[in-house]
Amino acid sequence: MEEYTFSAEDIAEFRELAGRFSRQTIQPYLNSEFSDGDMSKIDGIISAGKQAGLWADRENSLGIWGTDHSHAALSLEMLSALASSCAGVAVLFHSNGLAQRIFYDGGGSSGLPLLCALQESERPPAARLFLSHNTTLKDEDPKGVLTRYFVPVPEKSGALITFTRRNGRIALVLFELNKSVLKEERVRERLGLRACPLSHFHIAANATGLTLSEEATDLLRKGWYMHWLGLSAIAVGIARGALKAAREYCRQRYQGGTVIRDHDAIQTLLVNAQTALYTAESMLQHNRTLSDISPAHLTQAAMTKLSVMELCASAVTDSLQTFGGYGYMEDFGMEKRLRDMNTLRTMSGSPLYLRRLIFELSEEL
Amino acid sequence: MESLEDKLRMPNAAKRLSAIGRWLVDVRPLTLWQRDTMTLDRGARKWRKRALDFSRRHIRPVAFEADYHHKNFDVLPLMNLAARNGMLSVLMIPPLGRASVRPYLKSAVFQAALIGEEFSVESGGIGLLFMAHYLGLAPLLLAGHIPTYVRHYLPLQYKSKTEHPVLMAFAITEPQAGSDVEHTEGGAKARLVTTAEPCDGGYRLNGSKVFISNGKIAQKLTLFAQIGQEGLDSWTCFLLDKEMPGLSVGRQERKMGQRPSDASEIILQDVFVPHKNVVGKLRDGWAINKNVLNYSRPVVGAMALGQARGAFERTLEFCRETFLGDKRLLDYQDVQLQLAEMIIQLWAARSMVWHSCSQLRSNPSASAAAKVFASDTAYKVCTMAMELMGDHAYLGKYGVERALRDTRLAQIYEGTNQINRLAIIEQQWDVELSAEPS
Repeated sequence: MEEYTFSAEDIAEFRELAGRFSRQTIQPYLNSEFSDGDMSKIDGIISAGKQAGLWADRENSLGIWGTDHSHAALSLEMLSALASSCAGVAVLFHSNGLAQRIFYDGGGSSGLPLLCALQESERPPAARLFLSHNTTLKDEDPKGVLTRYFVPVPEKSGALITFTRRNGRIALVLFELNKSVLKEERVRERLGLRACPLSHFHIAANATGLTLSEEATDLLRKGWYMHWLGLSAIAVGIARGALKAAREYCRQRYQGGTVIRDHDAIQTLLVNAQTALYTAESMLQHNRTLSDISPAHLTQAAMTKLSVMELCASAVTDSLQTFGGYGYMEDFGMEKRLRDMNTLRTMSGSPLYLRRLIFELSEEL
Repeated sequence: MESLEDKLRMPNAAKRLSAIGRWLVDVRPLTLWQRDTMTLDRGARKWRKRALDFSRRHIRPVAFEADYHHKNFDVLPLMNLAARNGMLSVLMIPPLGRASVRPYLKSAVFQAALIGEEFSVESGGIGLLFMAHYLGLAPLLLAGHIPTYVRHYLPLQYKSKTEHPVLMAFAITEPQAGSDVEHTEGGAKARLVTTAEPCDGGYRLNGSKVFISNGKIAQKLTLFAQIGQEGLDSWTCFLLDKEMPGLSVGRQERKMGQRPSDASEIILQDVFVPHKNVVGKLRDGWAINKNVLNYSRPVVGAMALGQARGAFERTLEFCRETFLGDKRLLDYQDVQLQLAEMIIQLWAARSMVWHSCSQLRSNPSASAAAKVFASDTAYKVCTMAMELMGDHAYLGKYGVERALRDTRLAQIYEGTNQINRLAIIEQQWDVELSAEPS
């Protein structure tokens, strides 16, 4: 597999490409009756994403988390650009790319649409799983049902890849969905990111699955590393979109006989949002590699998610506040950003979990 | 056999004290809710308990439906039931209302604030349904105008006790004047569109109001309009009946939360309002409006507090039932620290709200401070609750994400929290901030 290296100009071009896609393809999807967009158009967005080369698969290996590059910045910039319009759509692209990348890095070669279930229980793994080469792991009960929670379902897929404990080690296994799955339980009413379907999968006890990699601890680490950085990039995108929308609104809206941008109270909110966003962007830029993800890298990614989410949540709520009552209504898209942001914040690793993990991983280093 | 740790716990350790020593320490096994309730007058205690009971029995079972499927949820049976139980008539003492006399004489809105908190624990939107009704009634009370009392306030209060109350709404916000009608400096330059032109026998009202809570379901509105084009200084409060020709309900906003209560546009096209429906005196509107806000802001704080308490209670239940490894979430120290922080924040917010309700005459600074502190705190507590629940936090069935959506509105309505902060400055300016030290 040939890997390309990218200059800052190259990355800027990809960012611009994703930005155009965001404005021209995702934005119209949001102009519907509901602030979460018209779900019937999601398939069209994915098709367009494939044509634009943003949707990673066998043919688009330069897309988001595509296999032909080992530089995280490319994918992170593109995710932020998509999320500035719709974070739910960005999560779709992110989840697909992550599944493809783990699959190919794990030795897969089928070119199927895939789901990736990183989360082996109702919450992310404990630190010892990320360091399992020193640990004896208990195999998952062969008689029990294997359940994978909160799995993003980017498109109708033929297979699900997941990490499971086999022979005392962490293995990467592929399950065919039609044969293996006892039940797919769709997660319905929820706060945000509604453009991206989520499901719990209950996999039959007798489903053996295809073992792609017998020792996949490194891949597990890499998966979570990419996941947390990807979600952080999406948070940055939401905050950028929110701040941009707030600035535009503040230039047009009059109160007290003047545009509200001239009010000190509004300027304070905007500056606070801008500063929080800048700090989050700076932090995200420190995480660049996609090769040889060590526990130290994973710790950094966990710290990045922990901090970036806080900063971006603060930027989004400050931006929303400038809209007054209109910020709370669906028309301006700000309430959607707030909902999406708060979903991301607790998704796949809440602050409480991350703090514990960072401590435990740091103790081992 | 009792362990050393058990012996060291205060209830056991206190047994060794002398009788006076034991009396000086309160180690009774009471919840924080019970302790707070015990500090109240008997009448207020009664309403707090009744509201809690009503909320759990009648609001909790419908809270999810009322939010997620709010378009199909009929709120009127619930409101009628609540009215029959006295929940809509605590802005007046018997025989016309049902407020307990002693706490009412300390603060007219305190009992409403207690109900607002308890109802909002289960559903912020349903809490708003009731509090918006009180808000609609408030100008009639606060105008301090005997003819208004006799003609309108007392009959409406009486109806509020019955199974078929006349539901009220309060209408000040205009499309181009949100914060402006809640703050003096902005008010002077506000772009108002709702006008009242004098005519034979009364006034003709034209214009529109937006974001009116309960605008769709209310039967009567207290609505503010400028006289001719005279500006906010001429603002006058009118009591409008929904049946008046020319009055219609326009767009209903699609909100992030508090969805059981509609936020509607009110359109006025040559609506004739007779002289007798002027609330208070002509051109009293601005002062009445400001005073209504003084009384309503602590209630908004109480509602926010209730929403956050709901998030806390549901999270606590989750932490009790959920295991991480071989321990319940509740048994982890970092979880305990976070829960303790939430309790502290909620307690502090309640103290502010109750303090601001502790005087018969409202204090603008105390009202604004209570609203700002309680609403900011509530949002913070809801985000902390979400942290504890991880991925489950964003699922609708747990009700924590609903509390977060609901409580975000408290930082915006009744004047954004920025406007409320400036209200404190305005109130304290001459006497304290810009004055030379004495």
